[in-house]
Amino acid sequence: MYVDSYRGFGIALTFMGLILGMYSYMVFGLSPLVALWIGVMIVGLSIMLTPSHVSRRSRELAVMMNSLFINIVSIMDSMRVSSHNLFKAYGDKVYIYLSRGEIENPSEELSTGFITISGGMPIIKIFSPIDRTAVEGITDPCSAIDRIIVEHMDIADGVECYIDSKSVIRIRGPVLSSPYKLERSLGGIYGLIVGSIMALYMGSASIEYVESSKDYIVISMRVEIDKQGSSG
Amino acid sequence: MISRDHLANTVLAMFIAITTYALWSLSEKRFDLYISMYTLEYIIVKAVFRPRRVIMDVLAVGLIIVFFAIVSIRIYEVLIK
Repeated sequence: MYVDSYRGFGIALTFMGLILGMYSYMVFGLSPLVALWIGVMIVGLSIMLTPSHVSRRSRELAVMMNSLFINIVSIMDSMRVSSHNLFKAYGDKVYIYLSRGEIENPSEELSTGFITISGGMPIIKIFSPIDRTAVEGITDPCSAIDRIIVEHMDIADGVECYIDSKSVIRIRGPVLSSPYKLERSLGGIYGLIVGSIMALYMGSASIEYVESSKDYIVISMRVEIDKQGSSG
Repeated sequence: MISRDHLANTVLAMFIAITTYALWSLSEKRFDLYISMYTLEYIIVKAVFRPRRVIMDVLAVGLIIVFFAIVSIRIYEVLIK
């Protein structure tokens, strides 16, 4: 187990609390001073249990997913079909439609092929890695986004939502960054997750813009509620 | 920007320091009250900041067990009076 100076400080606090606590107990009995040292021990243990660097499998998978979608979007971009997106839920799955123009509500037939020509422009359909099993048991889209991004994938510190027909999701402390191409087409890795979850809860969602900085990512999206994906 | 793990530890340390000072200044001598307050503060910090842990949060489990032991002893004391 890797121990950096921060966790080393935690270990030192724990042992200091333990030794001084035992000594105080022997001298004064169960007194507030013993409680103070136990408090120091609790803080020390809390620091000791804090990971020095996050290298969880889920985060590594998120990095891989990011790379994979960068490649996919690069191909789409070379075909000039990645400027507009639409996330749409059909049953338990979410499809992502990419096209060079606005995508009108795609029919279910459109979900059968990889490339479809609609209104004279090609629409490309890809599967989202997020499906309904990932959000099972959660009734609110914001909680679902928070659960997946913060707890399961561990790629941000927190999520704030304003959900309406025009929704804004603010992601605090993002870990991954996506290139401009991926952000413009799918909203980056965070947009991909947020869009898929919103589609599962609302029916369909379309990312309008993504604003990224070191400390936060703001995803603005248009949401359309329909019967298909409103069950949560 | 400070990560939520480090922020949780800092807030916990502040809570514990303030609690100890407040109870001590009120001449509170009950040891179990201090420990119960620390447990409550740890659980609040854990719920609000959701700090990451290298293994299962054994500290939370341990503190909850101690807390229930304290409560059980208090109830037992009331019942046998």
